[in-house]
Amino acid sequence: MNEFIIERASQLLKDGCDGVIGLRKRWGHVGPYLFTNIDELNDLALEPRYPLAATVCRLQARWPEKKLGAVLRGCDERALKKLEERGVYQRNGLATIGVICSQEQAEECNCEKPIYATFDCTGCWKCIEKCKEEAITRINVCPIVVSNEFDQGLGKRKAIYIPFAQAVPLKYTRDPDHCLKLTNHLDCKGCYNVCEAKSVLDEDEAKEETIEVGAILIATGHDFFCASLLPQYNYGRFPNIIESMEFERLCSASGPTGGKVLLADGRVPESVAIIHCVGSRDSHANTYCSRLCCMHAMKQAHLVKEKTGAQVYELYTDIRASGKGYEEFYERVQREGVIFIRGRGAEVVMQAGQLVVKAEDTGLGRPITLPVDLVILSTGMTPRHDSEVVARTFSITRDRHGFFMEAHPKLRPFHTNTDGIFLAGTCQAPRDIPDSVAHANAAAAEALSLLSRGKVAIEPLVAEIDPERCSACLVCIPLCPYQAISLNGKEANVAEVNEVLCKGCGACVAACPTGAITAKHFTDQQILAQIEGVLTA
Amino acid sequence: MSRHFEPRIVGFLCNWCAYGGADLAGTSRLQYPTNVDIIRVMCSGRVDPTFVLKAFQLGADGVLICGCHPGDCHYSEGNYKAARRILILMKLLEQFGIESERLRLDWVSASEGERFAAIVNEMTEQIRELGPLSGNGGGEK
Repeated sequence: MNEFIIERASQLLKDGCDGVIGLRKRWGHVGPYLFTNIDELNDLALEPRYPLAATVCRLQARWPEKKLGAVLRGCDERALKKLEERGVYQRNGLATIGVICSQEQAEECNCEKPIYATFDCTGCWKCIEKCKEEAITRINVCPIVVSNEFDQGLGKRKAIYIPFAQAVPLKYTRDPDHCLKLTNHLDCKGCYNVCEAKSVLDEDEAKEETIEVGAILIATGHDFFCASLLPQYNYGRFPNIIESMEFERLCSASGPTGGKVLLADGRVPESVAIIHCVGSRDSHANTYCSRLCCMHAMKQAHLVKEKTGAQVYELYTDIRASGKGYEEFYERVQREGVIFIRGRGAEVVMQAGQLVVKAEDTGLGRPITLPVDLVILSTGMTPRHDSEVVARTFSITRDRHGFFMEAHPKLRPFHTNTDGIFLAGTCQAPRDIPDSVAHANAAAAEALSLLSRGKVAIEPLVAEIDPERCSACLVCIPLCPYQAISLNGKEANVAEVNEVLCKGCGACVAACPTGAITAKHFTDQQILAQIEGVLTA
Repeated sequence: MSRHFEPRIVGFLCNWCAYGGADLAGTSRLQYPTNVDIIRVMCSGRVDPTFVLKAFQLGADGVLICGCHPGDCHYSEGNYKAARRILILMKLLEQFGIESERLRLDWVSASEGERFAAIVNEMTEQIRELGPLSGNGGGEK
């Protein structure tokens, strides 16, 4: 990407452009820079974002006679367009080179990348059928083939696709990162031409909506631990070492193999090792027990047995089968012939084209080696990668692992310390499906009971202003984060607190120069008495 | 200074983060000195500089104020307000001849029981090094 842009920029300079405006990293910071020398272009930076529209306007206004180019991202481009519409800027033949932001940058900026929901799509599937037929000859409808995220990268999909088989609504969407038309690489009209409902839109605006609500349920879910972070398992280095979620896709009837458990070369595995606790209960990764992996590893062992009849080894740290019917399932899987070995899988290596799992069998008290065809790494749950941003947005806290913190571990397990915000499911802690359903139902019921009451009980901890002592200096008003203090200009020229808005933080109390504000239950007298109490005791 | 000097520290802990952290330190059975006497406030922004001065006046050897981490304040920005006030207060204390190390502002989240215990340990040691606040007749118990 970077090389391509540098090439375009140097081409511009060669073609007689006086300079190219872009970002340059200097002294550890990225800032705007006017590149006039081709050699300097090696320092061209694309990220992090630095808005360039103002710089472009200024430089073009200063040197209207010069021919300039600019490396711009979508937001800069939109800003210039708006400025042009308002008549404060003329493009004057500015040569632009477009940059597509990375997903990380878009998340950082909270960029609402347009989603190409095709509202009128009837689901005729003509575009995709056409695609499948002619993908090989490269004169197909959509020429783009990328790996399918839902299939954990095991299968392929087009740039116009249904995200997954049970998607609601069951309609096609376009991938703005890969579609040739949307990325402005080519004026491709493949899908337009075949769509009978004429529902393919190429222009879709990013929309921001404001919705007023009485309660918020956070159910953002989890990520899975990435097995490549533990190099001893050689995940991603050798074929046939897969994570448990990839195995789920292999087993699924709608998955890339149509539900057959196959090795990368298409053979049926004859022996399979399932390694438990990958990234869980491990001081090098996450120290907590991810709780559900024992049971899904056993389910996967059962599926391997059922579908292939292969020999299955389970290398476990401890089997945690606490739940209704879980212990019985553990016994059933043992009866089916799955071999359970107590010992953490130490290493997975390739020896003469054969995968070998090394471990210590703590029952025997000696190291063992298992030659197998397929290794399934049971990766644990981790907090979502963006949980910090969500926590900050909703003013909720996270525990030391990064899961959202409940208000009380026993009595308020789905409340947060922020009123009206509830947690549901694995965003709060690792849990399996029945527990997530129970947790989410409870959170929903709590949110509904809050709404159906029609009124909200507020804490009595609010600030109060003594009108006799208030001098209306207005120091308190900008301090209040809730805009709860306002000037009562009608009766007396004093500040007053709106008790419904006030949350009782006391910032105004500490700042009031005349001591006119008291925080109920945390008055100056009470706190001073406590200080006196602890120091004279 | 005598090793038997036990400093008396007054701790102002915000209800949402630091008090939760101290609570967690307790429920996790962490060991930390008993020299800090905790006073709960709703927010570190509630800590009036007068409280700190009053505590020193009444014989405290140190004052610890703990709030939420920057950006995590339950009240959006109370901890920033505290930070501004305490910074000025530290300069004032130095003019009074009180070492600014005797006043400490730190951030502890509700999940950081260990951090709270470490801060208390560190501060107690630091105050023990500094010795009793002069003019209060010594801090020996």
